[in-house]
Amino acid sequence: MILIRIITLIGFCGVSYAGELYQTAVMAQSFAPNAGGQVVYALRRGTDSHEWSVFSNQYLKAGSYPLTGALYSKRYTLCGISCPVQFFGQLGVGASTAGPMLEFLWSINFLWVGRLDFVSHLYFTKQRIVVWNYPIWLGVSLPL
Amino acid sequence: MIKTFITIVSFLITGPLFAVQFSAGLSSGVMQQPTSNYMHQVAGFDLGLATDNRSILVRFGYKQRPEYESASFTDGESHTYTWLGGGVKVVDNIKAIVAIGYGAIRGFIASSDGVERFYDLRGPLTSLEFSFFYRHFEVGVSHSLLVGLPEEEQFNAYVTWPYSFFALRFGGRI
Repeated sequence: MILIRIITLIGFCGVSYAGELYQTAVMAQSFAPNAGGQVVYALRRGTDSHEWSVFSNQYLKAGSYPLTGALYSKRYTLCGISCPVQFFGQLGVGASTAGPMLEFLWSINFLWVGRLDFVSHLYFTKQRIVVWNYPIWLGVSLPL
Repeated sequence: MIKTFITIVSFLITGPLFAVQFSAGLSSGVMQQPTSNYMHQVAGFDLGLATDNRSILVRFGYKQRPEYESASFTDGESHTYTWLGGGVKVVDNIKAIVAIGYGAIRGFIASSDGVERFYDLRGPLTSLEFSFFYRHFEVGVSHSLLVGLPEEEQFNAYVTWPYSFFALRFGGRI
């Protein structure tokens, strides 16, 4: 089934596609202003118009536990899932264990396999707004 | 034959001039430093080019934060960038501009005893801007992330220096 989808995608490369394609990504490692970067797991599933995601930052703690959250994002696509190299930006809203949050995301996907994100999060904690960046966030992305 | 040639050449020369608009803007906002995580006020200007339908844009910009003095230290930073973006319609007269480019941060720290240290960080820059267009005017809110790349040894240890910018921009185009 996956093979059929991939072949279909390649076949429709550069051509408008009437059906809605989905893409699932798993993100794992992000750079950070500290040695070792930060391990941040995320599961992202979306189309050319929106995305749902959950994430857990093993580097940041909210209380005693890793910072964890869920988001819904509106996607603004320059080149969509049918393109071999995809570009898009996203504005997301969600909730985390630190409080409500916003996400600003810019992403590039290579050949329906590799995904590279540039992300900033705003956490609205009780005391203040915290900005935390995921400057180069690496993962894999599949047309599933 | 000659007439056709002249027509084609004329179109190639004048066509882009009519299809491209020039823009200029002033912006103000905040910038987050990666080392201190402090938010600093910044202000700047930009110049750009865009197609008539604003589907492709190029922008060159400059931002600066005022010098800050505390105890016996003074510091300051400036930011330059260039990006290429695409406009995606959100609703009538509002577009999301998704852009990628290259930027730099230059700064200094000086102590009262005359010791100064300068730094210059460069790297990729991404931007997401929501712009409202009306005739020759535009107002936008944006977020930009400059990823300052360190030396190779640090980069191999997954180290980068992210500068986050949030700005309000007023601009015009002709």
